[in-house]
Amino acid sequence: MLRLDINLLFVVIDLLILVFILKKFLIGPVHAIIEQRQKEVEQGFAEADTAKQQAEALKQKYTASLDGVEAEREALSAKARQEAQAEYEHIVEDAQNKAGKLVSSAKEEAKAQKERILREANSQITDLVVEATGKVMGVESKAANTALYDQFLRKAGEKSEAGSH
Amino acid sequence: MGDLAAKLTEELTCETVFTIPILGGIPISESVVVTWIIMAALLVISILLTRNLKVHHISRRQAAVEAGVTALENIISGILGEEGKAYGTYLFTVLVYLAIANLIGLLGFKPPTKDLNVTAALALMSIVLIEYAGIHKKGVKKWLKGFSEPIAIVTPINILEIFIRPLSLCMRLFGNVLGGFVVMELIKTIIPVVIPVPFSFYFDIFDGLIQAYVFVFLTGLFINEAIE
Amino acid sequence: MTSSTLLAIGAGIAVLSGIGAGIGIGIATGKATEAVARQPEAEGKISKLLLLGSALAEATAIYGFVIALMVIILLQ
Repeated sequence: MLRLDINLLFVVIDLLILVFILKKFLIGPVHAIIEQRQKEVEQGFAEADTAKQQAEALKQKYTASLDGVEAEREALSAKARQEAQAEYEHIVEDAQNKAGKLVSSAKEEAKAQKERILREANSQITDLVVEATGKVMGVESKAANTALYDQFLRKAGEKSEAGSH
Repeated sequence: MGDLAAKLTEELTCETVFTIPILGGIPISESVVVTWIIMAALLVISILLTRNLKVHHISRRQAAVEAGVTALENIISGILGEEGKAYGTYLFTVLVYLAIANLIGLLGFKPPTKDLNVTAALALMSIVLIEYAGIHKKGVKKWLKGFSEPIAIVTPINILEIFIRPLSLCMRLFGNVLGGFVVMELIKTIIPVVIPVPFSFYFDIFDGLIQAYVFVFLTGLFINEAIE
Repeated sequence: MTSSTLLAIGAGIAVLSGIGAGIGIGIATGKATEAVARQPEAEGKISKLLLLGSALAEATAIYGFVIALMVIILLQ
């Protein structure tokens, strides 16, 4: 009990070995696993951070693209409207042109017809007058009739010209 | 009464278990053999406990191991402080070893701490570590100068302290375990049933753990003081 | 007187060191109780300190005990 001998040295060696054993087989693994967990937690935090940043960037991009879409739509609709307006104007102009043409052609036709009718009436009247005067005068001479008629016509024409003016 | 004295002496003496037949025979005492048993047990338990440790979904065993190791390390780092962290492993080992050595009497072994060789070895290692910590931190010159602080006249006392500290550590541990053992034997001789149970709780378990803690605490305190 | 009687007396005197330890631990416990009564929230710290102080104070008694054992065993 109360003796000090070589066993003291053995105990010292044993304890040093025990320190090694505990360090290698108990403290080491436990520390390693705790450290690993710590690292993983930090990594998780970092990943969450990056994910958040990415989401933020994506959101900004999305918002920007949304604005772009709005502008594009605006531009598109404006363009469409312009085109429609142009088309409309074009159509209206076309229609007006056509209508104008129609009206003028109708007018011309009417005028032509009127002239023709007038001319026909003139000739008929001339014939009638010639016939009537012939009957009245009893003269069958066509040449004398025609000369008379022309004379009459000239007077009538001068009169009507003076009257219309 | 003579019977008791004989039994006590028999229990107190640390027998030589066997002799290694070299260099004229090296006697191996019981305490060393029990230390080997403790080492083997700790090795096996450590390997079993730290088998397939996982990062996630830890088993209850792993949680217990982690909590236990962390708690012991917290105790030690609380004593040592930040700077003495490097000596934590040694103190951890001493704490575990002393706790088991003081309690192993319950399993029928003779506690190694009842042998003066063991406590002397522990105290020797402690004082070597304390002085090493001081030299490592301050350098030889400053360490030597430290002996004459705060005034030159206390130098002999400071030098004496190098011997007193391990002696005190050694004798405290040894005397406590031995005293507890003797008292328990006396109680058991007088009243062998029921009454020894609470005393056994105090002397075998509580006192053993307290002494293990005190040993580690004082060593840590001295190391902390040496590196300041 | 035989030498064994003297040894017994010597051992008994050595164990008297326990008186100092007893007084010391008693005072420490009394103060600790006072401290806990004054500051119940600091109980954990106080009891830890008390245990440590008691273990240290007990050392003197243990030294006496060891000396007594040495006297008996070594001088037998």
